[in-house]
Amino acid sequence: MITTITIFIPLAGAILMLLMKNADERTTRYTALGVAAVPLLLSLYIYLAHGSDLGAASLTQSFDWVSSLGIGYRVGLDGLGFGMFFLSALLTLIAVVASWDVHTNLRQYYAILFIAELGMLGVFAAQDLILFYVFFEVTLIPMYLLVGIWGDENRRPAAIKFFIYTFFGSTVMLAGFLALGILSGPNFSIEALNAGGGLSRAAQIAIAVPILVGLLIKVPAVPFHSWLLDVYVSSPISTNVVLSGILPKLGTYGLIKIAIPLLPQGVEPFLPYLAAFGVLNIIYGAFVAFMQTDLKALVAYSSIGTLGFILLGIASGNALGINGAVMQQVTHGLYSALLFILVGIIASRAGTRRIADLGGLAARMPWAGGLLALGAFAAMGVPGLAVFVSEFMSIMGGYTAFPVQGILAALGILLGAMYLLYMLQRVIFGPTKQPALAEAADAGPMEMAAIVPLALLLVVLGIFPSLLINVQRPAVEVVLAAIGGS
Amino acid sequence: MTNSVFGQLLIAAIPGLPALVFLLLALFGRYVKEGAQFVAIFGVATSLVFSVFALGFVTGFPASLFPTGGVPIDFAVNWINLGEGGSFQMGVYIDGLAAVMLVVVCFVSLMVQLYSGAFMEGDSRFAWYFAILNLFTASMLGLVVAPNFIELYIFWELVGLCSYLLIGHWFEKPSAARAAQKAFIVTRVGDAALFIGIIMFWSATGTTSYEGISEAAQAGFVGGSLFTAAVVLVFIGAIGKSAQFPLHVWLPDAMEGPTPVSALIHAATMVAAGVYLVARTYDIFVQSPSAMLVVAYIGGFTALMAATMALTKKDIKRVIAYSTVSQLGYMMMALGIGAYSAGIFHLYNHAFFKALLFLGAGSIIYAMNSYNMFDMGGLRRRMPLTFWTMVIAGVSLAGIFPLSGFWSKDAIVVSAFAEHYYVLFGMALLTVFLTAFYIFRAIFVAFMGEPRTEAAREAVESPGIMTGPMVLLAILAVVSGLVGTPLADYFAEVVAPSEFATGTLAIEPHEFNVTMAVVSVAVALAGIGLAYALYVPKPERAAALARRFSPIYKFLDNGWYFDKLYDRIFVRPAMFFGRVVRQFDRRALGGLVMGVGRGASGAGERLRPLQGGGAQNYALFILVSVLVLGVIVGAQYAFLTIALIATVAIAAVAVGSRL
Repeated sequence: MITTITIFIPLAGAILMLLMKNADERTTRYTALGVAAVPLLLSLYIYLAHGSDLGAASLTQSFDWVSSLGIGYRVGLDGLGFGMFFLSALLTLIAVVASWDVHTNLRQYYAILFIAELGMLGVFAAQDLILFYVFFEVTLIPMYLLVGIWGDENRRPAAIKFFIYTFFGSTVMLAGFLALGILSGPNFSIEALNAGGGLSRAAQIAIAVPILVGLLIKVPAVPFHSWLLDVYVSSPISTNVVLSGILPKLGTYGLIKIAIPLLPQGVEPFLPYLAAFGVLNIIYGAFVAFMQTDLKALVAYSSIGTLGFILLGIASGNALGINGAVMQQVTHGLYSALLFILVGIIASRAGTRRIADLGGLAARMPWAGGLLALGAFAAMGVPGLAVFVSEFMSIMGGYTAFPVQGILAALGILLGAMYLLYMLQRVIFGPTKQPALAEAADAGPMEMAAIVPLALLLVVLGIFPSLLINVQRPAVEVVLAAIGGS
Repeated sequence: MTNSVFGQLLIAAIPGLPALVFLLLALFGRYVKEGAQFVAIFGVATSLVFSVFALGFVTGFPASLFPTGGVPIDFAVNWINLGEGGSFQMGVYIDGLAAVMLVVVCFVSLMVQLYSGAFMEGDSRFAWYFAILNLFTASMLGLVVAPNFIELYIFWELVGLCSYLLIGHWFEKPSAARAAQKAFIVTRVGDAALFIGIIMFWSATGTTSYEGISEAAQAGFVGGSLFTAAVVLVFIGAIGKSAQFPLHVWLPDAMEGPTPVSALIHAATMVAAGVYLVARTYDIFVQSPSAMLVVAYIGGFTALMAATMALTKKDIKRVIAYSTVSQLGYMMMALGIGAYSAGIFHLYNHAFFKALLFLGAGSIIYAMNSYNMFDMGGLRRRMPLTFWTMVIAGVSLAGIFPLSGFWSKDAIVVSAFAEHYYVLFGMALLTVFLTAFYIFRAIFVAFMGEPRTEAAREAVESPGIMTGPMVLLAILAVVSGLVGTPLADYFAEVVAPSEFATGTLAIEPHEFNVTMAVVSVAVALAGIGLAYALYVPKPERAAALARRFSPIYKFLDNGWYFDKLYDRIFVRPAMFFGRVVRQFDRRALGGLVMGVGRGASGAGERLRPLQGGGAQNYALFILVSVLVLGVIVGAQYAFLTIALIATVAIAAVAVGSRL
């Protein structure tokens, strides 16, 4: 019950937002903050009360929806999804805090953001294929609207491109889901379908192809990534937080939760390629990021790069790699949200995002500059910060399964250091180039409220990764059993 | 003791206190300002006391104080536990080697922090400087006590990060920011290799603990070329950190950092971490004779190469930096040829006299704000304390009997000869000559003759808080070697290779060889004499020589053109490749999708009057797609799918139409 309540509180929040017709901006913002805090507090409660017991889906609720087809409203939380469930609630709250650049149609903005949150929470709690797809799609349209309405001057083509690409992906995925569910019963319960559900290897492969393609577009895996740059660059900062922090994980989570355990034999022949896709993301993302002139574009490609470690970890099919991948979903969300907000803060002071025109931020804005450095260090996998833990687990697991891909991924850490340090050198070090920056104020209290929790979590999880790993580990063992049992 | 919680806390406090100081200063530094140094000094002084205590315990000396001592301190807690999937621990392992390192690190850190209080006075980021200095100290101490590769790697990267932040401390200067970046990236080449080596060990043995890997290798679980490859990869990590050929290029540039930082990080501690890593994992290294040869020859070659690079430098800090590279090469060579205790003994002695050389250089820089030794001259009279402490350090570095540098250097040279590595022996002896020459060239040019600039004429001796640590280090530069003389070699007892390593290498202890000692001291004196002849009576002789052998001079002065070479073969091709990939990304992939986007956008425009708004188009798009899909999958299910998607779409349309 608590799961369902947490998922649908944002819907109530969205309706509340639309009803508050006469509220001024201040009231609207504080109400939105209040609404966004509720799912976060509830998931914090779930963590504290049930965190050690999330092997199989717990806190479940299910009732038949279309019983003749085995479709049901089935939700529950397990260790695979909980980290992202929590992060969805957290990043939505942070997006509300960081929405200082949105001034028009504020109530509608929050309403749509909350609908997106509903979808995100739902995806990570869904225990039914059709329900998963519905929530998956529920995130898409709000994202399209957020970018298309509140983005910068290039928002329209960017939003359309984003929509077409990912909608194509999810439609292909749905085809796979329908085939899987119908051939197995019909039955769409993820729990019941675990470990192949008696499908032949050929059938599994045939079904796995559309599901993998759909999910990889969502991630995005290179070369399906070209929708990403424009939409990331055009969207408002607070949308970036969710767009980069959560949405890619819909794809990777689908791989871990559905593709691998439900179609173990079908996915198995593709695993080396999945690992190779991961490596491609890491290396390609790093090289393209290296050459970016726009700070936001650089962060976007950096995000593509570090998503590659998730793919590698998933492909490894062993405890270390999959645990690393599940954790990297969260750590990637933390650092990329941090960097995107900082880019917004910096651009608002300097009046530009051109890397060549920035410089000297560490002296002018020590907090913003310093935390940008912290985010960059996290992204390049410096130990003491959480991304390191998930990356080394993914790479070690990946190497054990696919040595060549593992070594290439390890070299990717070197490439990451190159472009991120090059960025830091030009952005936060050296003399100040922009006249506007000479008098710039450092990050204010509201801005600090958005970035400090992310930085803090990166440090805490970097030092005590077990806080997260112990929650996900039992559920990863279930996935491993499904693979092993095939 | 290692079983009691109190004892474990005490040991954990050795790196824990500086870490706490870092946290306090990073958060509240702006309020305490100049008071930061006192917090820092209190922290590291306490760590030093605890380290001495740990050294006493593991050596069991004095026995009255440590009745249960004489055994290594060893405990660990789980960090990540995946059950059968593998687990990683955070632990502490302190034997004689680690305990000596702890004391050295804490002591030099304390000296440097005392000195920094004056040197960095008035710096705009004074508290931040001390914060990072303490994060560095904590990480370095963590690295020393680590019993497994993952823990090592964590602290290994953290010391690199601190080095980056401290080299770039004056980041308003573009050259400092560039040097910091170069240091981080070049060492990260080594780190990546180290990481791959660790992964290979883990995947072959299922453990990352040094002991576990060594035992698995002995049992034959991992062997052959895979094992050698992994060992060499780990060694490449050590090459990067200890600035050995071919990854030495970052250390001279790192001199852009504040000089006390150079003394602590780039002379005494972090750069020695590579040597320490090889020593710490010696039981693994000795199992691969070819890897040991690589270690020996990389070390020997680096020692000679860096010594030649130091010959012509005008920047006094760069002379000392190349000297550090060269001396680290000695230590590596010693480990490679099996002279384990001698190599670590040199690390220990070198920490004191090299830190002193840097602090002395810093004292001059503090007095006259120049790094160029040819701006100096005649400082002997103006700064007597700095002069005499630097001479002591120089004599110690040159290896003149009976100063500390003599004992360890001599032990290495003798071992090379006795183990029949005659090429290495020749290189080592030549390096002795060059070392004596370049360090006394620097001392003579800076302190003898007449002042060459106004600043040199007006230089005054540095304050007591700076010269005090220098005097303490000078005393150590004289006497630290006395614990390892042939008469009573306590050092080799405390820092001894394992029986397994000794057995595998089949090395006998070497007798002190008087002839060899006389030869090496004579060679060093010859180097000092040549420096005197060229730079003191008639300084124009040196300039004439430089003109006469101009190509060689330029070759040496440009550090054998390594920077240019690396620029040509790595940096530029990488940039070129980056540009190509970016063009591909924009033109090929981006163009393709842009076409789709434009087409759809056009379709959208045409549909607009009909539907009245963007969101509706996509709702329609969804419905049509699902309809098509439904027909494909089976008509009987279509209604259901449509119903599901329509709910979502209608909700979206409802929201969209309000905007």
